[in-house]
Amino acid sequence: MKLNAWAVVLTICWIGALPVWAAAPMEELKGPIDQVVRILQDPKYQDKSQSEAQRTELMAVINGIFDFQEISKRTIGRRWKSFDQKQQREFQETFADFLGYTYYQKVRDAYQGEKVVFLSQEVLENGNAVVKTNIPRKQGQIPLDYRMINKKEGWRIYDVIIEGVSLVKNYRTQFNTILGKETPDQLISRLKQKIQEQKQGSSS
Amino acid sequence: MKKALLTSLVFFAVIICVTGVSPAQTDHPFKAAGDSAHELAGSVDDPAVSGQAGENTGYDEEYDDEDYLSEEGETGVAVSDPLRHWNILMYHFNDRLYFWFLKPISQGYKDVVPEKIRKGIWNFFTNLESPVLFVNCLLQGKGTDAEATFARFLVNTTIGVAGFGDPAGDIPKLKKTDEDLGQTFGYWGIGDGWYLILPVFGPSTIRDAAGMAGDMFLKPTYYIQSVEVPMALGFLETINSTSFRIGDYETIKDAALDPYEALRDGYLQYRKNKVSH
Repeated sequence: MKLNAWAVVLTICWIGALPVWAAAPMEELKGPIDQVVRILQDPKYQDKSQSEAQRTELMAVINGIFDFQEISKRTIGRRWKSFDQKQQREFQETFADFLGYTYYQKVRDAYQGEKVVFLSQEVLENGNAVVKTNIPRKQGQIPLDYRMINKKEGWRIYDVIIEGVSLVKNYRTQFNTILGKETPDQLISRLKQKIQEQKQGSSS
Repeated sequence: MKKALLTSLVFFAVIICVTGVSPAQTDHPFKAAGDSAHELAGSVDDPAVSGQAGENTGYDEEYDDEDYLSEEGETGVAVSDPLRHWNILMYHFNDRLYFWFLKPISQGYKDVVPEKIRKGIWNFFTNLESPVLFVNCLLQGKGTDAEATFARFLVNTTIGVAGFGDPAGDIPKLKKTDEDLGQTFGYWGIGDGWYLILPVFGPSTIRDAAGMAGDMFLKPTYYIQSVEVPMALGFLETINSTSFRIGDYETIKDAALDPYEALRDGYLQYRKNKVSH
């Protein structure tokens, strides 16, 4: 009995202390963001003909810190179970590609050497974390929050919140409207078509 | 003037009630929304789903991102869209308005007018918004923010020369707040109501549109005894602020598979976040 009580106390202490032991999410985020900034400012990529090489290098960093499986699952929501394994895998790859092409172009065109300001980090009750950052722009700053999940490999991003708008939730609303009328394969081919459009847009 | 303001406030509150937007039962509108989402999730047989939702009840609504498995995730945002036909019509109207008129005019304006002057005009119009911010801070019981807004207005109107400069921007204590009547209604527990796209003004809700109409009475330009002058000022304000934002709308549209839904959800999330701050 006494032993049991001690076991309970120890377990509580151990669980309570866990977030402290794990590497801080903000620390894990800082490295990749610095790398992204460095690649964006790299003089060898200032010529637009190098954009494909720049995108590839950026995507390597992005793939390291974003958890696209988690992102895909959360973007589709409850319908994720109705995707078969092949569709899940294909969606995950295509959606990651889509996000990469779409936001690479936007960030490249909009980035003007701003320095990301790290504000705070908070580990939530469910074990996930929120890291709050700011990007200073001419007309005020843009709040950018990263939601992170603690995986075996470390803290990984599963959602980005710009001025209070969750990207995962925003895409979920859109995809659910589409999936109400179309099949998973049709959604995937829509994404692929959009990637083609982005590719043509970036080369022109 | 005070009486007119009060009358209009009551008037809009009545409109909101009549149009079927029932005030939420709890203190906070999104707490109420979250609770009903949990109820929905709880009714699902799948234990994994209800378990997932059950874990949520404890922590801050702001971080409540686990609803992706709930019913809400299936149907999109919890704000209904019965005005969809009208909204889609207005979506296309505003889209053309932007690409055919607003964008080319703002681009031309941006090419001609130096950034310093555009920034000055931006500051001037921002300063004119002070009464709106001040009253809405008070209505939400944010005394410190109201004081900061008032001090900011004084500093920028005098040292900043009628608001064209923003010396208060260098004082961290006088940081700009962003409040409006729509947010105040939300703070009071009034829900979004239906999603509504207004011509020219863009995405809104019944609540926010009523708020916008109420805020109008707090804008100094409303009391100019003329039709043309406020319209011309409104036009300048729109063109000037758009000149800083060219490309933003294109970015949202370009990154979306369903731009109408992306804009709708984006607006609702953005406002929900504003109300909670």
